[in-house]
Amino acid sequence: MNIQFKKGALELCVLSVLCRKDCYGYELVSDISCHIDISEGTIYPLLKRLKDEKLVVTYLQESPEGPPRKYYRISDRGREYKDQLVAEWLDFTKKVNHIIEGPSEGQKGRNPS
Amino acid sequence: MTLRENYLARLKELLAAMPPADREEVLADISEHFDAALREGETEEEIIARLGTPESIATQYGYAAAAAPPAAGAAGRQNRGVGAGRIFGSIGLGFFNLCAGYPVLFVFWAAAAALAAAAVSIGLSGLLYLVCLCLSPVFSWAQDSLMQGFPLIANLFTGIGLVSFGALACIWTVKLFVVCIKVGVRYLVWSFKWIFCMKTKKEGDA
Repeated sequence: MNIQFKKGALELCVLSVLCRKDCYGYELVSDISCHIDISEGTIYPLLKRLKDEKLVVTYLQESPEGPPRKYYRISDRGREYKDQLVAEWLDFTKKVNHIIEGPSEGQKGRNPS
Repeated sequence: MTLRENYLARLKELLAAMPPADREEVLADISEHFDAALREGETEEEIIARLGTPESIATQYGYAAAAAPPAAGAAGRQNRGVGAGRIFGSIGLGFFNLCAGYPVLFVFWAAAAALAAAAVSIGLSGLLYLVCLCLSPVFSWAQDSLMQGFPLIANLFTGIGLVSFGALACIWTVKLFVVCIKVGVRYLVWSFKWIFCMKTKKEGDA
């Protein structure tokens, strides 16, 4: 898929996954990369930025299989921001779909030809 | 060195300009990623292939691969791009300095110098006024240069007022000069640093 599309959507994907559950880095990366083909390393810089902007917070939690893991949790601000991003995304994709599919029969009549 | 150690060492090198605490956190995150993926049964080769190069990660953190060894491939191409951008940037900055930067600095300096001259002459005129006041009983020319028809006390206050205002203005101008020097030096240092590639952060980020 086009790399610019992916870059723009990645933030939305990360926030959406975190809305459902807290994740550690690898878990989050795997959840996303099983659907979208990305360089997994790009998620970590994104997570750092989200953390710097206080959209997510981190905490350490013991893991049964080894050293404690760093978990990411979405903040209230992050949820608000995600809702706003989702709304923009849906609106944008709807318009793009309209353009791709071309005007329907009903709309054609409005344009003088 | 294992592939993983190599990878982390290279990333650390690329993030040399990052604040140390942040850098350690990044390295710990990537290291944790390796641990978790290994536990899931992935090999180091697979993990690295999916992570992408250390250069691409460092770029995403805002640190371009300027310190990269002259290896062929994507990193080399990226460096050439950065170099060309810097050359055009330097030429642009040079023109900007000639047309706008230096004239603006010069105007500031000229304004500061004019204010200094004004301050000094106000102070000196006050002093002269007081001297004339002292000499007025003896010399008629000194008497002539005072304000006529005013009592002695008014003349005295005029002189003292002029001297103190001049002194105050001198102090202000000294401060203004200090600011001018600081701004000028900072601007010059920044512009030289920029031209001579001493800072490599945030290139190729767009």
